[in-house]
Amino acid sequence: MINYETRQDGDVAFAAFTREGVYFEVPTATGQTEEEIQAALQRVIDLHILISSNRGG
Amino acid sequence: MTVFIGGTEITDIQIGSTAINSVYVGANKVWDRVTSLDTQTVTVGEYISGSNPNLRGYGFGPTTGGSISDGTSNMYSGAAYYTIDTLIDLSNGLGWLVQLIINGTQPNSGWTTMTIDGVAFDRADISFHSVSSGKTYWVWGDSPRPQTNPFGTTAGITKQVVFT
Repeated sequence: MINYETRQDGDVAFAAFTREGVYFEVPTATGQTEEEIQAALQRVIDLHILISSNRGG
Repeated sequence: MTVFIGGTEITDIQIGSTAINSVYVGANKVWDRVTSLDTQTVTVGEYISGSNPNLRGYGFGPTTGGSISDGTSNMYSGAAYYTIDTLIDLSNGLGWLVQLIINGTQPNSGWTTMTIDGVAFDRADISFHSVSSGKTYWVWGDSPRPQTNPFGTTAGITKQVVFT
């Protein structure tokens, strides 16, 4: 379970959270279930790890 | 509001040499000129992984190489662009991942769209914005990823990146 706060930016709501020192914001969609949001946040963490490890950037 | 002629979006209207900034139909505004916040010229670099030739990248950054001019962001008080590039793993068929990285800790605000050679990437559609190790990321990488690469695959050519 990833704890997050919601930040509204115009028409878009971003889920904001910090994981191992990295601050993330992830857009959420109207009607998204908590399960779907959690899955999206985990995908983002995995993607960030992939980018950081493969690209050194 | 956007206006199209056929399938082409109208981005510039002039009468003679005078630029028109707004168009009305009666009392209703139907078009506004989009003002660029920042325009960068990227000379495309190419990266092909030595250990995995399926992993490739194009654009500007420490891995792809390439160059950028002028390289500083008008949206973020002159902070330096660190990376604007596209990545693909040809073995997974997922398409292109697009990343923008700017030095420093920058807020997820201040611009709406990054357009690379005419292909728009909206900030509202990012996979994530993150701040890590003194750099700020905006990444478009969730499915469906673009199937075409706006930087192309030819190193040395220049592409414009426009922020609005």
